Amino acid sequence: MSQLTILRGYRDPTKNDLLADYFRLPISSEPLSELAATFGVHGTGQVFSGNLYLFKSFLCFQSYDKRSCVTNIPLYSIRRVERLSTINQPGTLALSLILWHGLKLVVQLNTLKPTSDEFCNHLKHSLREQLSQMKHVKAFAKGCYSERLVGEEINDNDNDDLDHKDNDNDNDNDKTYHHGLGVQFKYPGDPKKLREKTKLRLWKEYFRLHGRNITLVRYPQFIRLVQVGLPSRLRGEMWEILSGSIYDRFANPGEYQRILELHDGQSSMATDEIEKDLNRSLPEYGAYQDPAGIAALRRVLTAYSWRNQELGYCQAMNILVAALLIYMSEEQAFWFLDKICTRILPGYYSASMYGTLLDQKVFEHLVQRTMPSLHEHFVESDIQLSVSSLPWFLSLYINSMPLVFAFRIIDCFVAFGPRVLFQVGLAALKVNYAKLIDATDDGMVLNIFRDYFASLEEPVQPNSTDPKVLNITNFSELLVVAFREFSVITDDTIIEERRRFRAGIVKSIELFSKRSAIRNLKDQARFGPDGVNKIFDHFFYALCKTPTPLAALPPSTPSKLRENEELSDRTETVIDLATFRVFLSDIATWARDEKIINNGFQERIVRSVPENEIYRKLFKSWDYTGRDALGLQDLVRGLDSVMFNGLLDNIEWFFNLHDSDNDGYLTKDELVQLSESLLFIFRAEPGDAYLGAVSKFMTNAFEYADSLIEQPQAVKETNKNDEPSQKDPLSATEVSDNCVPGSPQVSNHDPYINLATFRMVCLADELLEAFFDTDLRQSFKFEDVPQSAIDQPLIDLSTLDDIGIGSTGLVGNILGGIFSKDNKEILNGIADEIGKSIGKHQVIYRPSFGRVNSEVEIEEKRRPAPEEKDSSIVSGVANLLSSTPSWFSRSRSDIGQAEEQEMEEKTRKPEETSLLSQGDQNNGESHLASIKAAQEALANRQAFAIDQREDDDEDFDESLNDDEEAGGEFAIGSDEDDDMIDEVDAIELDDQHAIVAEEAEKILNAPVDKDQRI
Amino acid sequence: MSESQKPVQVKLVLLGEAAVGKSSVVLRFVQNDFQEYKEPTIGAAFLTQKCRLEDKVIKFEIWDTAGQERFRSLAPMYYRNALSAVVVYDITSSSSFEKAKSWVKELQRQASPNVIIALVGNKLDLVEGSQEEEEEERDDATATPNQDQSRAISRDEAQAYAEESNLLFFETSAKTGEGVVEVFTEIAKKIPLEQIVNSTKSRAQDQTQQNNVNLNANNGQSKQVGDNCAC
Repeated sequence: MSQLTILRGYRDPTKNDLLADYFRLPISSEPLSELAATFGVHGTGQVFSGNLYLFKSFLCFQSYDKRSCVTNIPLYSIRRVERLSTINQPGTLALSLILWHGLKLVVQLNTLKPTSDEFCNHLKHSLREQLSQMKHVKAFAKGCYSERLVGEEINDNDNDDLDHKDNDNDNDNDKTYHHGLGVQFKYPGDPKKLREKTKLRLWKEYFRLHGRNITLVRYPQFIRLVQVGLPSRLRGEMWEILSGSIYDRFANPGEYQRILELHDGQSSMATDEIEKDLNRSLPEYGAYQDPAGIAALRRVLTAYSWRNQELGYCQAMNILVAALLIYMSEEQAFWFLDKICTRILPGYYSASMYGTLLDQKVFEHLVQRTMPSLHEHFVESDIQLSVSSLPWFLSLYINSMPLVFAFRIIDCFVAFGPRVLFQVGLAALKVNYAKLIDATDDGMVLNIFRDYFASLEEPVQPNSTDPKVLNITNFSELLVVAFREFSVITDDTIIEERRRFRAGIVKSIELFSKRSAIRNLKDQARFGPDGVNKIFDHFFYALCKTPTPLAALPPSTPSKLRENEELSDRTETVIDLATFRVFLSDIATWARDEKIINNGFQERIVRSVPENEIYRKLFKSWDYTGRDALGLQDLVRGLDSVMFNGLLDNIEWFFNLHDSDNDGYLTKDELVQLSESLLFIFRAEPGDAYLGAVSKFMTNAFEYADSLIEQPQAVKETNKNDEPSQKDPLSATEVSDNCVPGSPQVSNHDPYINLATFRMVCLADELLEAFFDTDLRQSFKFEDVPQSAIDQPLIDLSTLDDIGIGSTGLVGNILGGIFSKDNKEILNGIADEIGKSIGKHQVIYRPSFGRVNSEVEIEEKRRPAPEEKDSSIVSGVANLLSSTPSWFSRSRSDIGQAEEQEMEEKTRKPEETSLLSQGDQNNGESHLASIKAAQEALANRQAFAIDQREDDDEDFDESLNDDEEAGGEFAIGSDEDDDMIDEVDAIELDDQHAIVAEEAEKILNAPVDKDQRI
Repeated sequence: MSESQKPVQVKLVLLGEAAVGKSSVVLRFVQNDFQEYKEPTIGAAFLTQKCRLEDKVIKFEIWDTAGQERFRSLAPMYYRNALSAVVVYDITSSSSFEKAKSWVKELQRQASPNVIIALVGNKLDLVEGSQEEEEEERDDATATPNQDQSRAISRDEAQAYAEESNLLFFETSAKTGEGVVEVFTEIAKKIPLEQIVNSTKSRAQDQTQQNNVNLNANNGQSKQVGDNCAC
């Protein structure tokens, strides 16, 4: 539940992945070379035909039946390669490979010469690359018990048990090999009964002929040797070889120790959980009643929880690792665990446990396929098989069977793969078929299996007098049924079945997560269940689009603090700033750029998230728990603080947002930042009204603040007498800031303006008042999250920038029906090209508020006779305009249109196009310039003069005219259409915020469009 | 009469944070036993115990679930059709109490409508100095070494919460056995036994209507899950 979107990243394994899994290679990569070959180990007399694969660091062979002969030879274990003369079959190439243990492999390449030559070249090259690894082989091999086994004599007549013998050897100063706790605490089971000695002798022979540890070749005898159970002393090493984790250990010497040292003394949620279970892991085994055993268990589990922090720790891993440590050293167990968790049983122990759930579904389906009537009975009696079977899989039967038998199943599991878990499970059902078909509820089924697994040691026919028959135990029957009757269950079956059910499982986990996340909310604020649901959808959608990497999140709090923390904080999914920006842009109209692109065929809306400081400010202010990350609860509270309040509360909210030290005052810097935020929020509004409002706001704010600092008493009085909205200092004499007599010198970082003053200044402007009163609140909307994102968890959401609203137009609809989402971008690109070539392509920014059009009338009313146009604020605004950041540039280009609309409402020229200036495209620089300009404007403003009132609109009007003139050079006639389009191209490609308005009315109508669409 | 009477089956599920002593409470109730080191439950364990209430015999079918958070998505599989639930927390751990509250919330929304819920604060032996004071070692497998062994959740606080949420409330010690049996007998008293006997026949149908997010949830069922999302 903690990281919801990990599931999204899960892909079906590729062919190469499957191949790498089959050969247990450390990493999946494409084979350098793949060819038909005949393979044999010198001295065995057996030769197999099959496929030979050369990987970057492994040479692998697989016989055609996929069983008889399998080998994966690390290239660093090859000492020598010779080309053999092939007298019998001239033209074919044969190689002899001498391995580390002196083993000689003969490989005949059954291909044409060019292919085999290419193979040889690759091999030569790869061998050379592995040279550096070769020198480590000797020391590494020394740590393997198999080396010792081959070297020592096993005395058949020696009836002493092996432990005794081993103790002698330990005295011989040979404790260098990796071994488990079993050496000291004894291995489970009776060595005589398990025929340990015979097994060891057989293995010793096998090793001599077929290689050992890193050079082991699997021949048909191998399968039988594994199926009768591995000898205890060899078991750990064999598990390591068969799972392939030995190559990881070889490749990462010292890594285990390094992790332990790095995290020494640290704690996490996982380590706390581990601590709780240490005494509860195979508690009946001697080593785990001993501090040394517990300590080893702790080290392996915690080291792995640090290595794989996403996974951390899952109950059942304690049991698995406790079992491993009986046969393996800590380092061996560590790498084996890694292999299990990441490659052999991915998702079994992960936070969502999707692998476990998936395999339960697969298992159930296999029961349905192989024992349909039993399955039907389960369905009819409402028996959930997974109630019984889930623990089998999760603890690899260790928790369900007596240890000796569970270990034999693990022997087969590591040798033959996950299919073994299914085969054994199916066999357990088959054997108990008669009882199960009479069971009427989950409890009965559970008891049937419990009794059965407890009786595995008993003979199948206890009444028989034949000792051979008596020797056949329930367990041997189980294995025979598993591997004979269910031999149809292959690796491919499992892969296929997993693929079939994956999407469904992911979806149900996600639904569950959603339910829990919402349930865990302490406070739904004013949203109610529906609203919270919608917030979650957006939260999840944002996470899918821009996942928050685990590394980006702050480290978990120390455990002492955690004890008192709220439950929801412990497992909550949280997002970082990057994800938050996406989240906000989906909800708030002003937090995204929306380009309406019309290419003549279709109209579509493309969304993107611009850069601005305001996202960080919101992120910080909503981070109620101060952990530098936001959870669902934070978002609910945060949105609540802005979506339901009225005018005054919103003004205060906005003020506090910019008051970074919460001292109730904004500094000059903060005030400038605040106005910048306003400019950003209004960047998409057509016309100049908002720009004017912000400029006026800034001027007024500085006036008031200065005067308050200057003469606190006087201003208070003035305020009482004066209607704040009437302030207009524009026509006052122009006096530079520095020249004001007694002007206070306030540093940019000192407290400067308080909330009361700020509120007054905001209320002085109708647009700002409207913004804080309703527009801000209404700019937050919960649109429906695209269903595709929720329904198809496995699609790549990163391409879904075009969120699929309004692909309209006849051709658009038709094409939309034909093309899938994946093709859509390409399609759009093509359509745009065509649109451009016929001059129909256009891009329009959609306004965030759409108030300006309705405001036009008001402005008209307020407009006095045009006179007295020149004033400092005008020049200030002009400055601002000439260097507004690019995100603001649209207002500027729209200015012309707004003007036009006022002048001649009816006669619009479709050809007229305005375009932003080139300079505006440079986002960063012009951004800085705007700040400078704003400050300049402030510096040049006239002195505070509260009585001088005059409507400012005309001044902006003037500035507009100026601007239009100035901007004239950017207007592009129809002759230059092509150039213009190219330019638009470039702008679009650079993801700059560009606009081309071919028809002024498009923009004017845009807000209407918006309303219709949303 | 009573001897020959067919016992009434009552499904009971135990929920709660990892290592609060769910399995130990059950073990005490079913076998009157206590184990210092009890293996964590993987998935769920199943036990039954009969008990007599007046003239009726009740057979408790007890589902003891895994406590770790990541096993939580499996829980609906176990608590579906449960007539009663025992939500356990550790009185020395406030986080386990929070988790218990969250389980109660989930049960009240997702489990059978009239499920009887008992809130149980376990490990009373850790804070009761009056009772045979054997401080020699940590008495429970599950206690973390550094944990302060004093009470973290007062009886009053839990009692108030239980009343507010309409839960039965007990404090127990699985180790000493204090209060354990009472939990089950009080639950038995509250269960409308007559109804169960009458409705046993139709039980199968009811069961299919339970929603669950577990493995068996096919697409049809997940629709129902969606409806319940508005928690």
